[in-house]
Amino acid sequence: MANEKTYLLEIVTPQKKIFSQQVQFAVFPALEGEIGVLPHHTAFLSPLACGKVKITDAEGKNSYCAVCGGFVEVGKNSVSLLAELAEFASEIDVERAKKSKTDAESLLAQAQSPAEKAAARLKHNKAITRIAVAKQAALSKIE
Amino acid sequence: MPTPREIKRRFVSVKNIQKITRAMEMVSSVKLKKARDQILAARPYARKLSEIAHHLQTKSLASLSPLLIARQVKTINLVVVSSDKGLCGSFSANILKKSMEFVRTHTECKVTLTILGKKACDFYGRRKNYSVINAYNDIFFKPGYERVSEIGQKLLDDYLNGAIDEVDVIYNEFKSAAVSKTMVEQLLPIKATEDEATSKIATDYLFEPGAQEVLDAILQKYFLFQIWRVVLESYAAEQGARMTAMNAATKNAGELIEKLMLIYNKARQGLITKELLEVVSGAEALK
Repeated sequence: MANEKTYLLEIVTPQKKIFSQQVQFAVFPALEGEIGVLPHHTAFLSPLACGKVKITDAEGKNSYCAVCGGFVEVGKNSVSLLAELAEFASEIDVERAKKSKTDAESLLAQAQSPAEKAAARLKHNKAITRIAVAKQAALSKIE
Repeated sequence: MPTPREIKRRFVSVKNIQKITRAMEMVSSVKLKKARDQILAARPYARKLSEIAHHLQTKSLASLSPLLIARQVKTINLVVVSSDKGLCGSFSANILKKSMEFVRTHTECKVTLTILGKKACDFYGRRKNYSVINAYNDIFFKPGYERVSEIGQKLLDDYLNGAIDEVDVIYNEFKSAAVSKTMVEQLLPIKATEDEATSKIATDYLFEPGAQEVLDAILQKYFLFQIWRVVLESYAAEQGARMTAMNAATKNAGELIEKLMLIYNKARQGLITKELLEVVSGAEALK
């Protein structure tokens, strides 16, 4: 068992299970900074921030995924990502994300109550994350 | 005795109704399938979430989170989940009856209502002696997690700032296409479940930032997800109920058509006999 070089990574959202594969390495945006997990990591639990997940699969290929909200559970050689929102770079519509970024900015400018501001900020964060992930994926393709 | 033409007119209108009910049955069977898929898609998330919640509860962290601590109940918020549309048998009627009964039996504390679904909104809109806090009449058009979690977040805020001390929900649980069960469940405070099987495999987790924060975040997610699950269940049950109701309606229309057909034929025959008699007796008179 100890020579296993991969572990099972699952990404699930309330809408559906979007990823379930053996991977070598993955980096998550935890609430207090990014965390990289290799096989045989100790059991660990943390909420997730908005950000990108970098996944290195069994063949050593990298893929990127945008996540927002939820938490990550590192168990016995398996990792579960329970995200409220999770999209792979290939599913991201950059044009839409850009539009929603400008929308969010104008919302943020108009927002009066703290709740409105928080909602606008969340929308802004989601949009930025999506754009960043799409960019990253495009870059890695060129390499 | 109505004339054959009048009967024919009724006959045609019943037939048209039958066409409509049959179409509606098919539409809701498709929607039911979609709703069922959504429930299935939510299962992996649900399983993971409750696994983690169980782990945490067995680790005697229970006293850390306000979501787990029961306090003296002064105000209960009851979430009433009905449907947006009618023509689904006793689906909404059951919910409304149960919810009124709930309010009647909880006299020792104040009961406020959060209403999901147009049917219940209309019903409680007419009755001014209930205190409705929030009413949503458009979430079932296309149920989405984000919209539903907003509703949950509002309940959560009210609970945390002490405006409400308990959250219960009334909804129809989806059993099968023909069967649903009206359920009353307590959502907040979250009831700790003592499960032997899960406590054995409990893992020692490292928490970041801290146990308290992580527990709070996870329990909040758990609550929001419960609301989402209830909405999905109710939506599936609604489609199932409509399918059954429309099936029965189609069948009834079929029976009515048979009966009308018989009456029509009799009337037609009667008319022909009458005319024949007239002709014969006319010819007789000319002799």
